[in-house]
Amino acid sequence: MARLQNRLRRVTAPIGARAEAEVSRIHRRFHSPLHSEWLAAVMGIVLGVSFSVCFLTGMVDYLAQHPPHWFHLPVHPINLFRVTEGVHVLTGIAAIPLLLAKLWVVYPNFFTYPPVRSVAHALERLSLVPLVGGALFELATGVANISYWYSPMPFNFTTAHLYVAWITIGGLIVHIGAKLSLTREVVSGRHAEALGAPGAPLPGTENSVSVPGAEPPGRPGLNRRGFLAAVGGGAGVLLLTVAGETIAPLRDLAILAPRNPTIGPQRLPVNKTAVGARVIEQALSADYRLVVDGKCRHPRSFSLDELRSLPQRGAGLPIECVEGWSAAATWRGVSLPFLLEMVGAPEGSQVMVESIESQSQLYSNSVVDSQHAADRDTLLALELNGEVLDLDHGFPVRLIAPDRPGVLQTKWLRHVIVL
Amino acid sequence: MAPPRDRPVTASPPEGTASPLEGGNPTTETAPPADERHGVVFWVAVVAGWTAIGIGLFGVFDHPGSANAFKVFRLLIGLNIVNDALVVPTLLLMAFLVRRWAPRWLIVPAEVWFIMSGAVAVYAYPLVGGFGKSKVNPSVLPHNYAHDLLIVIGCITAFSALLALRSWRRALPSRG
Repeated sequence: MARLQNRLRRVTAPIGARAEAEVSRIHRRFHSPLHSEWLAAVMGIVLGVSFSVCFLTGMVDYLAQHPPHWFHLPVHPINLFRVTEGVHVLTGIAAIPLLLAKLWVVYPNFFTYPPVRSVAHALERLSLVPLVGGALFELATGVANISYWYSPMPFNFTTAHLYVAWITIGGLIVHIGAKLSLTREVVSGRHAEALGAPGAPLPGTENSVSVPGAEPPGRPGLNRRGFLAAVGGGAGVLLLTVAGETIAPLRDLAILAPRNPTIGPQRLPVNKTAVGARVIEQALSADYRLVVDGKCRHPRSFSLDELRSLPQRGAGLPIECVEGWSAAATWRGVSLPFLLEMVGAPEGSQVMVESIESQSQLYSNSVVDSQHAADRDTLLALELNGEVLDLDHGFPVRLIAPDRPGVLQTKWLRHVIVL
Repeated sequence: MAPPRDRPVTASPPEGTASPLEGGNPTTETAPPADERHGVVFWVAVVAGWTAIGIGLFGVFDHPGSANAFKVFRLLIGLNIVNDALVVPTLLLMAFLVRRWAPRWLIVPAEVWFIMSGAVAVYAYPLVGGFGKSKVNPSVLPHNYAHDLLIVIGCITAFSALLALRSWRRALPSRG
């Protein structure tokens, strides 16, 4: 056995030496001071924060969209979901240049010899696969989803995006554990002293920078601070040209936003049209009736005229989509708690609302929890922005409630079931 | 990123310190570098991190109907490979070409232009392609994104041109 090991060592030693020399040669090719630990650590901090924010806001959004029995978004503030979803999407978009730049900065670390130095080092490197792959996956599928480009995703976006987020955040946690002491050194300045201050000339060169953000003479090009500023500039341009799809004052600048909150029927975008949902015939039928039944004392049904004859309530509520856009609108209709009282539903009831869409369709029904069902601003809306609801917005009746994802604001209602 | 042959890199770190020219990889060290210390925090992070990874893996495999595991991991690994084998080498090549052929005063503005325009173009690709455009829903992708992308890149170009002008003017005395 020992002889075999010796022989193996004799055979592999030259290969190892050759590989080591080759790796050294590759590393010497990466002359740029931008491939630096300082830059990697700073970008790592920014990315760590942005991915953590994305993960947490994404979890809130997922739970709001698929609420388990223990989770309910509060009714107030009415813009809470709008904020979490907006932050989620915008942080993800801003992370695109940051991630690509970070991967470029650390690229030389891809070539190391020996590739694995210990069990800990192996685990650290192994965790980069879920981290890097997961991060790229999350950003790529996120952008594809808000662009309504589903063909590169032969899977359910929501499910895959959620669980790959867990994989990514797991890889990030291991990476933070591995790089914490290095990052601490960089942040405290101890590491910077060894390498030379960021943006300062490399040891052995003179400092006479002629352009802000440029390297000193002898090495043209961006220095580390300049590189950070350019990457931050790219993220800033993206935010500036997209954020207006949810932040009204920036609306005129949002030329690269997948939605304009003022474009659509009745000056409001729609996700699912009546044609797409195949509901036109039933929605326009003269026999239309809204059935209210379930665990209530006086179940009954209402024609559209009967609904219009009930006391109407107006509310300014945002419609907020999981794809990141949102817009405020004025709705008018029958208050859900009033209707529940009318049919003798017990106090604190939850209700399920069903659309006239085929019930096999995703989001063709939704449960309204007791808090939302008891809120007077939760409406069975008949009007939008002072006009009768457009067919694409859910004519004859749709649900609109404060602080709920758009996909749960069920359109084309035909059935309200008291649970 | 290799520098031009006629512009040798003069920097060389003092012996025994980490070299920023080589991605900060130390060459001679008496104590393990910070990125090689694996203490308690690291092992706690390994347990926590791989637990989270386990939750993710379980979730993907537990939803065969909606999250086809093979297709999810094919995209995840594929993006990893595309980045390492295609995207970064392409960026390195572009940076090399800029530094090789652009006049010295133009290098910083050109790099700024590439970084900012590249970021915007990567994001805007599916919008410009109009892959998600709907015939029945005009509120989806309502803009002319090719036109709008040109406007944004035009603004970035103008900004880079200002940088270039400033850089060129500062370079004048040394050229004379």
